[in-house]
Amino acid sequence: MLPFPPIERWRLPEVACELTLNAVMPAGRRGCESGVLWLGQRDALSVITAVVHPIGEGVEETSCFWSISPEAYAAVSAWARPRRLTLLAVAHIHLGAGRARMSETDRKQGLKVTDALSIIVPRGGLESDPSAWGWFVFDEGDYRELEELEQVRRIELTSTGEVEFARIDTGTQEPA
Amino acid sequence: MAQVEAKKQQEVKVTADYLPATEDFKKKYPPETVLETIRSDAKSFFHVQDRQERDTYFYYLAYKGERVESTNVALGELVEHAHAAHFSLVEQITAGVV
Repeated sequence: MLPFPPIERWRLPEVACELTLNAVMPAGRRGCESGVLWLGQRDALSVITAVVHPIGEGVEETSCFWSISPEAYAAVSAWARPRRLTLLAVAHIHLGAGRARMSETDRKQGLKVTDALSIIVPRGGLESDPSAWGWFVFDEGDYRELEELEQVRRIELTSTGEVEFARIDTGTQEPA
Repeated sequence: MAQVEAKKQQEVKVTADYLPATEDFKKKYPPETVLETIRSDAKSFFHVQDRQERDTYFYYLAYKGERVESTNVALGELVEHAHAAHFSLVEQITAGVV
């Protein structure tokens, strides 16, 4: 059995979007890129139940890119493992105001797992409407944009559902 | 028989997690196994591979929160006398406009 069950739909509590914006906007205001990781239990219906914002040593927020080091990734793994959470998506900001598009960096240096989502929040995190965000899925070796109908069919945005927020400091490997 | 038992006792139970995956990699290794073998087996289990594109994209083993840089080191040297070792397979994620 593959350790990556196929995902047909993602259930996304609206509060996860709000937590994402709250986490990334301070960097966006400084003119830097930032991002968070969306975690949950991977299944045919995968529910996002945690938003993780890595901070500290090993996290770079610059005007051109946002990056988390292997140690930062390991710190998130250590936090997620006892909670039986898996990484479902990477949500990050682009500073531009135009239509959200994946850059070469997003494609080449992002998560490479089937059905992983990459979400781009334009305008440095000021765009609060998730329907204006870019939604991309890793499928057959590359990311492709979810078309509007597929987005409606596969992303279930709900007003209910609890989402845990964790700011994980890579230096201490503990929630900050 | 006693020799087989002794060998079994010497083996190190290795597990590795990978954040997007729902299952851990599990295998027993003799302590003299170089870590590159474990990294390679874990990558195969999780269906990921290093890539050389514009930049190198590399999967590391992390042990106790630190990436393992030298994968030519023997497992026994890293874990000393432990009979079990847990690793995470980790990567560097970068997103950006350029």
